[in-house]
Formats: sequence, C-alpha cells, structure tokens
Amino acid sequence: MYIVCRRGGATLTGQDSSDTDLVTSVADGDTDALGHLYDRYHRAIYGLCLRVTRDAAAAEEVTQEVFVRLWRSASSFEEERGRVSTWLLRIAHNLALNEVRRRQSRPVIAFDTDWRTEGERIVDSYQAHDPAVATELGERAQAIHAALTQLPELQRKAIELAFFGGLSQAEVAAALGDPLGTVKSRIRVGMQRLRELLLAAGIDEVS
Amino acid sequence: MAEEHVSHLIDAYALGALEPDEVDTVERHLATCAECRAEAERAKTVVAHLLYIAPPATPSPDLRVRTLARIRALANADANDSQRQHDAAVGADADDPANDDAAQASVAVHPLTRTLRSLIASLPGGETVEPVEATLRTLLSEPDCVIWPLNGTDDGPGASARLVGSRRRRRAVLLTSGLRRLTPNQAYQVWFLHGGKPQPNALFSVDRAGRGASIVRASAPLAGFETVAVTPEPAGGSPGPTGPIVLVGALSQ
Repeated sequence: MYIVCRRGGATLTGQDSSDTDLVTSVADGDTDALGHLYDRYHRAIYGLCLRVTRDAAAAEEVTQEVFVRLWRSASSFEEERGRVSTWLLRIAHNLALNEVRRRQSRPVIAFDTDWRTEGERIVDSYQAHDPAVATELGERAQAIHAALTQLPELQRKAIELAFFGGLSQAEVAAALGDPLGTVKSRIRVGMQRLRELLLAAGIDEVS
Repeated sequence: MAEEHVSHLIDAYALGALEPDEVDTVERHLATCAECRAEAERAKTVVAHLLYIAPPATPSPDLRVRTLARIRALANADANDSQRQHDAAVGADADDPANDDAAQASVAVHPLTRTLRSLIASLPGGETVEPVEATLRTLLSEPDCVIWPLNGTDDGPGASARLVGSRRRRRAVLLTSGLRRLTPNQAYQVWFLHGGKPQPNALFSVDRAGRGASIVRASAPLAGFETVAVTPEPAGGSPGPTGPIVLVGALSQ
C-alpha cells in the first residue's frame, strides 16, 4: 500500500483494498486505484468484449473505453445497486454491443462453446491468471454455467444469441430459421427456468 | 390501472432483445406498475449473471500502459480545467497574453502540466533547478509515476516534502519545503531504508524559504525500500545518519 497525490489530494489505495474503496479513490482522482481495478478485471472485461465483438483489436478498444468510463463515472457508482465487477462488465457489454452495431458486423449465429467443460475452463483460467478474483469471478461463472447447462439447448442458444450477439428476438428467429413465436417462447421459458436454477444454486439475487 | 401487464415481454426486455416499439410499451408500463417493475428487476439480475460466463482472455501486454496513459492524460485535462476555474475565481486575467502563452506552452510541454507546474513552483532558486525540472518532466511522463509525501518530524517542524518517482525505477526527485537553513558546514542527506537499515543518498541544501530539490538515485528500484528519510549531516555527507530525522515518508506498506 502506498500513498499517491492526484486530482483531489492524498488518497490511500492498495492492492488489498476493496473494489468499492478503489472506485471511491478513482472518483477522487487516484489513477493508481484505477490501475488496481484494471489488474483485477481486465481479463474478464476483455474476454466479454472478445465474445461479443469477436475481434481482438475491437475488444481491446472497448476494454480501454470501459476504464475511461470508470474514470469519468466512478462517482456515480452506487454500492447498494450491485457489485463493481457487474457494473464494469455491464458497461463492457453495452459498449461492445454498440461497437458491433457501429461496424454493422454480420450477426453471429453460433458460439463455439462446449458447455460441458466451459465452466471448469473458466475457473482454471481465473485461478491461473487472476488469483485475486478467482473466487468471485471463476466460481460464479462456473455456477452460472452449471445452471445454463441444465437448460434445453434451443432455449440456451436463443438466450445466448440475444445476449452476446445483441440480437432481437426477430433477429434470433431469422438467424436460426425458426418462427418468431417459437423463439419468444424459448427465451421466456428459458429465462424463467434459469432464474429458478440460479436461485436453487444459491446464487444471490443482488448482482 | 386498465393497462395490461407486460410480463410476457419482461425477460426479452431485460435481455435487450425487444424491438424499439416493444421497449416503449414496456417502459411506459413500468413507469406506472410496481409489480412489473419488480419483475423487471428480477429479470435484470438474471441477465447480469450472464455477464460472468464469457471466458476470460488476455489482451496485448501493452494495453495496460496505453489505458493508464490515456487516463493520466484525462486526469491532467481535469486538473487543467480546475486550474482554469481557479484562475478565473482568483481574478487572473484570461485576456492577458502572458497567461495564455504560459498555459499553451505548458500544455504543449507535458500532459501532466498542472502537476509539473505546481512542482516547479516549489523548486528553490539556483543552478540545480534545470536538471531537476528535466528529470521531473521525464518521471511524470511515466505511466506508473507516484508522488510520495514526506512529513516533518518533531525535529523538522513545519517541513514537508514530496518524492516523485516510480516503484520500478531507481531515480526520483525529492522536493522539500519548510526546512531550516543549515550552517555552511552542514547539508541535508537523503536516506532510503530497507529492512530498517538506512542507505546513504544525495546531499542537498535549501534556500531561504526552506525549499530544496535533489535528484536521487537509489541502489535498487524504489519498490525495494519501505521508507525515505532526511537528516542534517556534515557537509560531505555521512555513511550512516548522525543527525536527527527531520523528514520521513513511507514508500510502501
């Protein structure tokens, strides 16, 4: 832990500080605190951006933009509304989808996800590279994967395309060649089932 | 409320998979229906969980440097805005070409202008200033530049200092203020402490205002030291401190 002087004066930050304390320090103008948050979450953010954009250069651009947004909006973060990681990942998801729409990339119709092993691979990756957040991010991802794995494949695929592909229900229907009504039903039933599974797995309501 | 609930649209709404007209329908209804708002919150929580399932990946190693450099440039722009607001508040003449030139020149010189300006303003007079200023510019351009504060002890009441450097570098600049002037056969000496053992470093003197500036070069990157301290010593310096510590600061904890 060390002391830095920046925009708002002296602030204490450290690698062991909580996410919320680091965001507070970033709001005070502490660039080192932002560096710590980068170290914790850049791989999760970049991975999400890569999944959405499917382009390494675009994913890096968006990842950088996420931290610029963090710098500019840190003071608007409200702890009671959720975790810092969710906040950052939500920003990343929105920016990545915007980037895909801006480029008018062809909609993705399939992700090369092996659902049986993906959860474990994510845990392994976090443990190998991001031990500080391996529990929070890795185990969380594994539990959510386990719930998704229990959904029928067609429901899971419709949700995945809408979420990571940024597709509307009509676009999902067009991409899969299925009737719109069928896709709407899959998404609704799949989301409700997913919620039940997450609750049963003890994954907290507060995101 | 005669309007129909929108439960059938809520999940797709939370997923961002509705058409724009459907989004309007849902949001108009949510504005008036607490029941559907609660349902929408629950659906958004499920969607938030999906944010975590993308496999993590490693970007180019230089992305961190590029990102932090951009943030520091933004930090500096914020600081310049504050400085301009401050200048306006204290009545600085915005039309004065000298002010304008100074501002533009310093912006062109370095992105961390305000920090640099304030540090240069704290420099003592004399011929040692120019290399110190150049070193400050270099250090402040480092993406991981840190400014560590040092505080006056009971033996250095009213003194303070800043050490500008980075944890991975040996070189740093020490800027002091409020130190008492020493006799001609004395000098202030900088010490870096590792494991509680002081290593002798640069000597410096102070001007009438107690301001001093010194470029220091530690025997190892600064991350390897826990403390920096200053003592008055005989003019040629000492292998170990003989005077009382007048300034001390933590480099890491």
